[in-house]
Amino acid sequence: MIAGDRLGSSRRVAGLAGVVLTGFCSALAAGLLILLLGYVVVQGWSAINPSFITQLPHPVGVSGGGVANGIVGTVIVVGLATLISVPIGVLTGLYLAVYGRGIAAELVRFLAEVLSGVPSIAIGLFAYTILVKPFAHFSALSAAFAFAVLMLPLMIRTSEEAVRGVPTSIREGALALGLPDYGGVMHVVLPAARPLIVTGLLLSIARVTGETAPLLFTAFGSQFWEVNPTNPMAVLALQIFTYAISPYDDWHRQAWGGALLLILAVLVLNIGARIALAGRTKKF
Amino acid sequence: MVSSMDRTLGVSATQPEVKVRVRNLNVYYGQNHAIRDASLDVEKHRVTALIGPSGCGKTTFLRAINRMHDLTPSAKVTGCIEIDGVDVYSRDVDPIVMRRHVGMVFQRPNPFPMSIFENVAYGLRVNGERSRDRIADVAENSLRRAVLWDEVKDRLFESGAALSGGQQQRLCVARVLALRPDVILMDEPASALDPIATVKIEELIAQLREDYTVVIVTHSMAQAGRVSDRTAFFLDGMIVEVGPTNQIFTRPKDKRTEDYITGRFG
Repeated sequence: MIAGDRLGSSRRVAGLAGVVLTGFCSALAAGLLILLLGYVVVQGWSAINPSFITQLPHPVGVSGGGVANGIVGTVIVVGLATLISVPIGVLTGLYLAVYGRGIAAELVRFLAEVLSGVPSIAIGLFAYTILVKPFAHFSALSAAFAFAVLMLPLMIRTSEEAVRGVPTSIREGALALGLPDYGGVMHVVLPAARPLIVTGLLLSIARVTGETAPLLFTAFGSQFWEVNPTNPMAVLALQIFTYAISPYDDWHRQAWGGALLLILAVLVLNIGARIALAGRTKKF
Repeated sequence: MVSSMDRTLGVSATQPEVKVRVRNLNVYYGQNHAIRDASLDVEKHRVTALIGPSGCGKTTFLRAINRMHDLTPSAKVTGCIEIDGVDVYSRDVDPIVMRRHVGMVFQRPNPFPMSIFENVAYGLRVNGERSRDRIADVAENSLRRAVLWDEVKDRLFESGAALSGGQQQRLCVARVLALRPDVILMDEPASALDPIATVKIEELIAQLREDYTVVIVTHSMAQAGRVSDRTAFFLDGMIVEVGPTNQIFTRPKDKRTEDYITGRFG
């Protein structure tokens, strides 16, 4: 009977152990993240002040100075990478979602998956080989190219999923209204998928904003104001790297400050992605 | 048979004109033979209901009329569907142009992700209408025709998705009406709606009869009885019986129709 029977004690112990173990691991993971964030905040907070955000780096030995050029450089490099990767990524995802049957589409999907696993330093090396070496000149553009390649797989995947998530009935509605199929897709399906595509975009941007390895031999870094993308450029992540491996305490402090700025930027992007998602649930 | 002489004398009032003529239609999904040799005459300015149990092929039949199966690679259609004497599957017919004359309302309301006004104006604009005044006129008329105008006139530029399900479905009807189609296909247009919204859609269908030829798929026999002039009963991909709705419901000729009507299956 339901009331009389009890589970065997070994099964109850196993169940309890499962709860304890999974709960413990979750707490550990969350704790590590909080510890990491807390440590960066504690270390970085003292470095952050108005001059840190508005001034150029000072020469070694001169205290103070900031990472303003690196902040601007990050925006330029990531912005250019976005300009390159968004059209390619979104249209590829659209193609895969709408017409993506058969071997060619499977191949594109497979390649995108492989690409997402390629180490960023290898992509940086590739950018170096085709965009730096031939011109014998480091450039922000080559860094943007490397970042764009890094962003592509995620852009393609999220765009494909976003477009797939649009009810077929909306596409059929456009078709039944006498729109050529591509018209319906471009004007009706794509806007419906926009919130999710924006989410994917923000996450891809967050993903590359902290990338450093490809920058080592593309953007290279700079001590000066630089807004011309064909020149070497300071980028925040690169400055953190340079400062962190330096022997100066003042620079270490600035490295933590830069790290905190990057984490804040990624946090903002992630919150933006959530807001975009919330917009979607309101729409459908 | 009616001779051409009779037609000129106006006998067509008693012998209604055929708007859509379907002959020996077969639809296959891969190996699945979904429609078997179906033939049907859809009369002009009448509401024709397609009824039958789930999976009997009525929606498949409906979607063959405006070539929606073109989108499904595994679907194959044979036979002949003529609208005003023109075979819609012939080489000379561009399905995109044809669909402008054959509107469709779907089972679930599917407003486009844009404003209420844009939902109605969009089809016009895509089909080459440039005049803003004219677009606004047609949009208002279509919304009025769809009995939605009074409910939305103060918020035309809000998202179509913000409307209730019943309002969304009437918006979808307005969207179709804006293109002044000859034929309107409806695939269980009220199945996702509550009873009050259903009544409104049914009243709307009754009015549409004056200017349009309507083919409606419905699960509900009561609805077929309320809105349709003629009814076709589908079973296993075949049309078992076609006739005036009251005759199908009160004096079906086929035993299977009678079994279905009286609720013995389905």
